[in-house]
Order: sequence, then C-alpha cells, then structure tokens
Amino acid sequence: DAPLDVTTTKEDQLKIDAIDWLVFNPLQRAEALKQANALMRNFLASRKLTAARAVFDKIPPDSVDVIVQASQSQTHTVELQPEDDNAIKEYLCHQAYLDAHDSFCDWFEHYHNAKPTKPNIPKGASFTERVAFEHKERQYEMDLARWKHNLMMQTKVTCDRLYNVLLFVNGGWMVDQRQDGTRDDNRTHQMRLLRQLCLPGLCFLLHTVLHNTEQYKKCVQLANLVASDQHQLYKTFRKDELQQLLHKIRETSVALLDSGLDPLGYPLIE
Amino acid sequence: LSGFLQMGENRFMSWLYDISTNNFLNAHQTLYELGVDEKASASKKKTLLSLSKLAALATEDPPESIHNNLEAIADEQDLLLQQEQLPDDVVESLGLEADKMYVYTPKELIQLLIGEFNAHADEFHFKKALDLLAYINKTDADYEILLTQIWCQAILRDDWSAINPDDHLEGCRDTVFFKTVELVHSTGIDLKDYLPMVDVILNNELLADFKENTNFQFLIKACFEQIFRVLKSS
Repeated sequence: DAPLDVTTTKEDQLKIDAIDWLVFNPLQRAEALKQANALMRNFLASRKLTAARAVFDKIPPDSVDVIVQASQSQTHTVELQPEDDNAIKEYLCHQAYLDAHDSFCDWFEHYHNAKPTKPNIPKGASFTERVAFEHKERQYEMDLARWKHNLMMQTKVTCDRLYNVLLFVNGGWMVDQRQDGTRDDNRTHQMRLLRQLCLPGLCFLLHTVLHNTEQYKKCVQLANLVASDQHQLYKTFRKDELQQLLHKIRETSVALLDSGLDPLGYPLIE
Repeated sequence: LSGFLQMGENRFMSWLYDISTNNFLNAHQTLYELGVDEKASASKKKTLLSLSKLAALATEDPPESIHNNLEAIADEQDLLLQQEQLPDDVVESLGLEADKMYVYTPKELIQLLIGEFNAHADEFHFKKALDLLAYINKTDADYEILLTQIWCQAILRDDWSAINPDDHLEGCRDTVFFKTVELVHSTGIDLKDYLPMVDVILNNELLADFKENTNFQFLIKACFEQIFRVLKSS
C-alpha cells in the first residue's frame, strides 16, 4: 500500500510560504485561493498531506466572505464569477478531504495505540499484591469503558467526515459546478485524476473503520454508495481496486455469517 | 463445492465463494438473479444489485451480454431510488421504517404518489408518476387507466369551485393540474402522448362527483383548450 503521507521538502516549504504574499490584499484573495488550490492539488497528487494542510492553513478562514464582498464591490451583483465560485468549492473539497484524513489518523491512533492493557496477576501473589491487582483491575475497567466511549465518538466523527467527501454536495468531490467560465483543461484534468487517486482510498478507509467497529451491515452497504449512479464513485475505481473492494466486503459478509445473520446483515430465513 | 453452492438454498452464499476465487462473472450473475428475485426487502435488493454491478465492473474481459444486465440494474436502481424518495407523507402513512419496506412495483409507486397517502402532492410528484409510466408496457391494459388516473388525481388536488369563472385562465394557472402540464411541457416531453382527451378525463369515475357540475366541466374544458392552443402554436 502507498504511504498515507509523504514528508514536506524545503522546496515545498518555499512554495507554501509564498502564499503569504498573496493574502495581504483582500482584493487578491480569490487569486490567493486559486494558487493555494493549485498547490494543494499538486501536494495531494504526491500524497504530501502535511504540506497540503500547511497550504490550507495559510488561507485565512474568512476568505470566502472576503471574496464575496470584493466581488460585490466590483461587479455590484450577488453572483460570483464562475472561476471564483469553482475555486471556493474546490477549496471546500480540499478542506473536507484533509479533515477526513486527520480524523481517520486520530481514529487509527486511538483504535490501535490507546487501548488500555489488561493487568495480569502475578503467580503466587501475596495479599498486598492481590489488593493492588484488584485496584488495578478496577482502574482498567474504567479506562476500558472510557476508551470504548471515546472510540465510539471518534468513529462517528470519522465516518461522518469520510461520507462528507464521498457524498460531496453539488455534483461531487472535485467536480466544478459552474460550467459557464473560461475552461482550464489542465485543472479539470488534475481534478479528475485526484478523484481517481483519492476516492477509492477513502472508501477503503471507511471500510476499515466500519468493519473494525463491527458495523458490518453498514459496511456491506458501502457497495450501494460505490455503485450509485448519482455519485458515480465506481467510475473512479480501477478493476483491481473494485476486486479488492469486493474481497473486503466479502470478509465483512463472512463476519456477518459468523454472527448468525445472512451475508448482507439480515436475519436468516428459517 | 461450487456445484453444491449453486443449488437453490445455497445460492445466497455462493457469490462469497466466487469472490474468494476471483470468479467475478459468476458472482455478478448470482447476485443479479438474487437481486432481481428479491421482493421482500427494498434495501436488501438494493445491496444485492449494487454488489452485482460492482462484480460486473470488476470482471476482466467481460462478455458483451453483461451490458444488458447492467442496463437492467440501472433501471432497478432508478426504481429503488424513486421508492427511497417517496414523500415523507407517504412513508409516514405507510407506517414503515425506510429500511423495512418491501419492493414496490412501478404501478404501486404511481398509486402512492398520486393517491390519498400523499397529502401534499405537487406537480413534481405528478410528473414523477408520469415518468414511472415508462416502466409499464404501453400494451398493458393498466397503462391507459393509470395515465388517466394521474391526471384526474392532479385535478382533484384543487378546489375548482373557488376559481372565478370570469377570470378562469388566471385561476387555472395556480392549479396543480396546470402546473403539472407546464412542468411536463418545459422538459421537452410531447404532451400529446401524455394527455388523454378531455372527455376521457371528465368521464373517469374519479370525477363522478362533478358530472352535473357545469362550472367544473366548463373550467376543465377551458383549461384543455388553452393547453392545446399553446401546444399548437409552439
């Protein structure tokens, strides 16, 4: 599997810092957003997520408002230029993707590393050792309950954010909604490639979260999401990726059979 | 083993074996048959068809015939989507949780959209009902019956006695019936194929209560005249 994140180089850092120069003047904010988007596209394409996040953080959070206001004062209409409109949507797509990834990393860390370990009673323990052990065991039970609770919360947030990218509104993730502006074939091409590069990966992450938290039925229903004609996610999968997905869903179906349900998670018919 | 799995009751598991042995074409075929046969649960049908579609797309060197299946799956997916998007009023009246619904036929979906369960039916619902007719064969005796019923139910959504006869064209414009006509027309569909003759409508039993109501008869006829005048000129 490809690594989830690649280290930022010195050269990358120079490009990231260059964004600073573009955010001084509010009238240039739309341009700053477009440059930042282009840089983030490149970083995502080479899986430099930390670098992409650094670019994202260079853009002040009020930028969408600033762009809308600047446009209104110049054109005196509420409608944005199609290029600016598309740039804002793309920026929100980047945000959704980075958030989903951060959330998954937190979930992964919590699931694998933060789980409390069960204390063992030493053989031939003395009275004081047994008392100490009982104390540790109570502590463990409490820690485990807290861990489970936090895992549940983290799972919910992570799933929501992953679905948020996969079901991105207004035509989908990294798809321009406005078609009435000047065409930028290079940008459109990059966005299409990013869909192919990122979306199957996110589906696999979602499968990992749902399967490991034993939400098997929902996990099998990932097939609905990928196969839906509305969202067209299946078009972003290569054949081998679809095969891999089906193998993973099969694993989940087997887990469902083991728990006494049918392969899709419904009660077995007598 | 694969022979055993193909037998009746075991079919619902055989696709798991096919995936594990990378036989995606077989998996597709079994899932397709299971999906088409599934009537008891709409959500289950949806997942079976989705998996079948993915298996078809995962097949290396798929045979030509797979396209027919994919088209059939697309139609079924569309119907399931229509069912999922049934108005809240209808779902509430049915008293069913969304994931416990059985699979409705196109005819049933039409009846649900235009019938009394859909208390706030608007022109978009009636347009959907008309779109669903595409799933019914024109030679099916029910086709014409349903077509007429859709328009009669649209007419029944408004209180026509409240329309001022002196300014009837303006009054008719606000009716669900007229808005449906406009919506269908605006999407480029030829209304002549979809709108029965005015006598067929007025003689339908759904409008039996208005048989002696001359005002009502006049308004509907005026409406139809107006529609066909516009159609002719466009």
